[in-house]
Amino acid sequence: MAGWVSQVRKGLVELCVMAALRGGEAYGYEILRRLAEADPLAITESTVYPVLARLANEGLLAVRVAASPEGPPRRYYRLTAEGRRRLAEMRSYWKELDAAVSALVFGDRP
Amino acid sequence: MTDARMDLPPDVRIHVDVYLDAVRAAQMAAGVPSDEAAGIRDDLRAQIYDMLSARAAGRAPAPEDVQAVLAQLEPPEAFGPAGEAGADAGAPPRAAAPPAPAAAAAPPVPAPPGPPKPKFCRTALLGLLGFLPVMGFCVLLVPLFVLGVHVQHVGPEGGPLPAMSRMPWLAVCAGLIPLAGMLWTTVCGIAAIVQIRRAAGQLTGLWLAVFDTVVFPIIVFVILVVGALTCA
Repeated sequence: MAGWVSQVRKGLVELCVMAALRGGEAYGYEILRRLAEADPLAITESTVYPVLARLANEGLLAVRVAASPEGPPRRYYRLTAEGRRRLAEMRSYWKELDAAVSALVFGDRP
Repeated sequence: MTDARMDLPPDVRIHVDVYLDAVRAAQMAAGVPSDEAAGIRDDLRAQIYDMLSARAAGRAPAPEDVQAVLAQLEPPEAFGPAGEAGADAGAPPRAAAPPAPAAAAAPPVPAPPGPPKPKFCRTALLGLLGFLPVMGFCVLLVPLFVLGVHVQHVGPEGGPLPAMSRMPWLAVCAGLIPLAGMLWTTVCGIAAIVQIRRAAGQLTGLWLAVFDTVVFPIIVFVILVVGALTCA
């Protein structure tokens, strides 16, 4: 069970990270805290930060470094135009997937 | 990136550095591209400072604070070959803000071997190189100048002009070299003082840095004062 949960979560992290940035830019720890509200996902630093770095490398996120009152500069991430397109596609697919899987698993399908 | 705003005491910062070094080692083992790895560590460092600031609530963070904060983070190995979500596979969700555990409760970070031995500031040593052109100038050119003056004074019917006076460009170039040396030493001294102050005890050699900074300005000042008094 644990391995299956992990695999499901892994696949969802990218979608969740991008969705967390839909409302505007945020820095790493802020994104982590937003995602921590989705408790069952159990998203951690080693999950989120590598995804952020990879998405930035792929051009889906833009990074801005700004001073922080607490210590070292923070890296602020925001969706690029390409990232917004990708997120729209992912959301659309997620809707279809959710409906199909729910129907299959919970027997909603007639 | 460097620690900027919140200056951590060395005995606190070393815990953060040890943790991030362990993360770096795990990333290297996993073959994470260096630019991505650096970005991840920057995010982690900023998070650690945020958590420390929230925990310390205005006072200077203590080693217990940083240990408690690091205990809330994942072990550095989670950033290694185990992969993004590999380390938390099957792990129960962590509390968003658990109470500060005792230092011995769950230390994911290897105990630091103690504060590293302070190093001598290299910039202060480099500043000494500025003495070479000044000494060279004194040893080689001053006697030539004196000789030139001597020839001028003892030459027949006004005598030939001294060598240095016949080639003013040579005199200018020869004068620029020791000036550059003086400037080098002074600038190195200032840079070394700044480095030593920022290093929070990790660099020594402040006395040499101060010496580099003040020695030539004092000499120039003394020469000007003596010259002014002599002319007057």
